[in-house]
Formats: sequence, structure tokens, C-alpha cells
Amino acid sequence: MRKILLTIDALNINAATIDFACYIARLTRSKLTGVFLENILYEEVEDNAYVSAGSTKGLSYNQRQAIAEQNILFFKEACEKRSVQASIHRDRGFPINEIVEESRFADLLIIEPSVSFKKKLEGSPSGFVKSVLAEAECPVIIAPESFDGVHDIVFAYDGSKSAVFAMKQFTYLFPELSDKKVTLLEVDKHSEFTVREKPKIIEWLKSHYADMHIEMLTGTVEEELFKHLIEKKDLIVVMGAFGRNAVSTFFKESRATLIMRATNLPIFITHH
Amino acid sequence: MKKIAFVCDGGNFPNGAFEFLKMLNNTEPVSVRGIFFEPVDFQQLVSVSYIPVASPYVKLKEEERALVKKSKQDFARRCESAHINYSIDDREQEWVAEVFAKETRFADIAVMSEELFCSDFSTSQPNVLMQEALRMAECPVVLVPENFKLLDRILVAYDGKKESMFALKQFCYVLPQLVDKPVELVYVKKEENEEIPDIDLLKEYSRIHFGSLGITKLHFNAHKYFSSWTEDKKNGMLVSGSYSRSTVSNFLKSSFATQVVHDHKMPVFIAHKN
Repeated sequence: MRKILLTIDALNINAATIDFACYIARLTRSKLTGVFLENILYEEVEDNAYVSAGSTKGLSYNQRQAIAEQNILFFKEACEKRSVQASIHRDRGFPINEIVEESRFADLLIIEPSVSFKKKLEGSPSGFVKSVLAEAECPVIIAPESFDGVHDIVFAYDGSKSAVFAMKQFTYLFPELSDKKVTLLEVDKHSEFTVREKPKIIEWLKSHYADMHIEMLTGTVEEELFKHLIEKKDLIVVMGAFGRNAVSTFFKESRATLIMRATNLPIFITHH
Repeated sequence: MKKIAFVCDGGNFPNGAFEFLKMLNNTEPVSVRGIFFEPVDFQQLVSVSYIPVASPYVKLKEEERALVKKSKQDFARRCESAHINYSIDDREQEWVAEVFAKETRFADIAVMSEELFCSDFSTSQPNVLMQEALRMAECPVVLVPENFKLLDRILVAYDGKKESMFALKQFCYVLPQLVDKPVELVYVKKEENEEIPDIDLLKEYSRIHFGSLGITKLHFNAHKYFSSWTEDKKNGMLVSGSYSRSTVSNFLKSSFATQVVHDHKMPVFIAHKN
């Protein structure tokens, strides 16, 4: 049993993300804590040109509270229907501070890539999601838009210790997936994946997974990763990132961004 | 199956760490890799190095290798007798922190002696090399006293900071067979009130993971009295976080866990991010 958080914008709830989070909660026989975030402290200059149809701008405090209450009810009912025990944390303040504090006392945090507390539409992943990835004190899963299940696991391995750290954390959190097909995908031809290390990582993986495979990507990493994952379904991608700066570099390099935008796969990321 | 790095230097075979290993293997089979280093005794090396002929140095190195060979043989014999799945690192080498770091990268836990680790260099633990090992480790490390026999309870040093929660989580992940033991979370601060940082979130997390939980605030100077307080906690293990790689030495200098390590009172589980 784990403590799993689902990050929810109290005013914009996403049913598909709840569905994914319930799957993960059921898989690990965990309670799902919906963290309803509301940004009540900052005022942003509104930009009418880029506001979505479902925008909550211009609503009074009471109207916003009514929407939040409705969404909390929706979350509770959705969990109940999927036989998942739910609890609610309602955090009002600076969303990033709230979620980082919550993550210190959690095993896993699930978030949709586009969740944002800005009124202007952002890309995916949003600035808020990037901040969460950089500062969260537990691993994060970026939820896909739609989802059928996890049959395969792909460990994206670039030879770094943070990639190994991510593999370990994923393995500890999901012992229920130890019978799934696991692929160690070497994604960096310049990696320090030396002759001496290769047997070690294989040995470690074999001690945790029964069905283990290795594949090596050659050529441009981003392109090859994209080609490799574009048509894949029902798998989860596990990646590491090292510290705050590396998370931003990680996204600039666009590996995770590309996978997120083009493949609709869940991505497990943790930084060491 | 968890992979465990069993660390030994020279002839300082860690009997307590091996008992700890047997205890783990009895609850859930483990796979152990023995990592053996030649003893670190600079004083002896320096003295023979001054002699203008090679033979004393060569002889000393041969004796050291013989000690390591014997430790490896003991390890293999004991693993076979305890039905523990094992392998032995075949390198003959002196203590190199980077080698240790790489071994721990591909292990779930490392175990070593709380008393004997590199004691040829210094018997006052944590000595400089133990501090280096803890700083470089890429998996949690369990330091085990030589008289270790039983584990009946877990003490968790909580300070409200992310480092102590990181250690607590890693403990739950890598030693799930121990989470059913009685767990006592201890917050130590010399102040009058009963406040504990983020107590509600801490309780919520802990109740999910532990069967039997107590939370205690101790109102004394941790550095002076914590080790004495643990004397009543027979057969316990202390779970303690530490700061990042760059400041783990500071942690070891100032933390109350240091005194427990120094006194070899109980096993100490230490985990930190690199």
C-alpha cells in the first residue's frame, strides 16, 4: 500500500487523469489522495486572446468555491465507482509550494501534463508541471490522455546514476509489475555504460524482473526514442533526471516533451 | 529479490552484518554480492615504504591479500551454510570510494560493520573512510554492530526536513519485511512545547506504511543524550536521513545518529540522495 497523490486543479478537473490514477491506486491497493489546488494568492493580468472555452476567469469567489466543491464530489464519486478509497486535501495558497510539501509525505504524485494555474493557455508540459518535476520530493507520473493498462515497462537508460535511481524507485513502488515485460532502452551512445557496468545492471534487473530485454538506440537520441515509442501502447516509460537544473535541461532536450506530446504514454520521472 | 552489497575490508569480517543478512534472507531470499577491499593501514604502509628494499612492502601486501582471501572464503562458506544466494567481486583492490559507489549503484542496500569498517585506519567510528563510504553510497547503507542478534523495533529520527522523510521512505521500500515491527518516530528538540513539524502529514504517511506506530517528542539536547536514551530500546534499529553528498560529513559530525554509530549501540540505516 502506498500513499498516492493526484494533483488536481480545483477548478478544472480531468476525468481521464482520475481514471489513470484510480488504475494505479487499484494496482497497488492504495488510497488515492486528491490534492485540490487553488491559486488564491496571485493575480495575473488576463489575456483574452488565449483563454480556453472552459475558463473560470471572471468568476466570483463564491462561484469558484461552488465549482471546486462540485469537482471534489465528482472525484469522490469517480473513485467510489472504481472501488478506490479516496481522500481529499484542499490546499489554498501557492500551488507549487503546497504540492511540494505534500510530496514530502507521499510515495508517488500523479499529474496531467497540462495542469496550470495561469489564465493564459500554456503548452504541454506547463510551467507548473515542470516546476513540480524539478521540486517534488517523490517520484512523479505524468498521466496520459487515455489509458488501457500497463503491459510493458521501458527503462530509458542513459548511463547516469539518476536513471538507475529512477529504475530502483519505480521497482520499489510497483512490485506488482514484476511479471511484466521490461525493456532496458539505451538512449545515449556516449553513455558510461561500460563493459563492467552492463552485467551489473542486467543482474539487478533480473533479480527484480523475470522477463527482461535490452535494446540499444543508435543515431539521434530524440528521433530514435520517438520512433521507438510512437506506435507503442500500454506501456510506461521510466526516466531519471538529476536535480533542478537537469529537469529543465531534460525538457529543453525535449525527450520527455516529445514522448509526452506524441505518444500518449504515462511517464515516471524522478530526480536524484 | 533484493540485491545486497556486503562490504568487508581486510580481515575485519563483519559478523554482525552477516547476522543481519541472515535475518533478511530468512524473511525474504536475497542475493548478496561480497565486496572485499584490502586493509587500509597507512601507518604500516608508510613505515615499510621508508625501507630502501622492496621485500618488506611486498611481504606486507602479500599478508594483506591473504587476509582478504580468508575473508572471501569465510563469506562463501557462511553463505552456503545459510543458503544465501551470493557472488564475490573478484577484484583485488584497496579501498576506492568510486568502486564502492558503482557497486552500490546496482544494489538495493549495502551492509557493513558499524565497528570494524576500516578499523585498521581508525577505530573511532565513524572514521574518515566510513564517512566517505556513506557520502558516496548510491543506495541505503545499514551499519551493523558486531553483537547484532535480533531486531524487535524500529526507531526513526524525524526532524521535519526532507532528508529524514527520504530515509523513512527508502526504509519502507528496501526493507518491507521490517515495517510490521513496532515503529517509534522520534523528534528531538530542546524546547517546552509539544509541536512536531507537519505532524498530520507525517501521521497519515506512517499509518499507511507501519502496523504499530508511536510518535515521541524528546525535549533534550539530542547530541548529548540521544545515545543514552536508546539504551532502553533493546534490539532496535535507527533509521536516519542525512544531507546531500556535499554535506554528509557535516551531518555525521553533528547528528545524534553519529553518537549511536560511535557507541555501536544498534544498527543504523542511513539513506540520502546523491
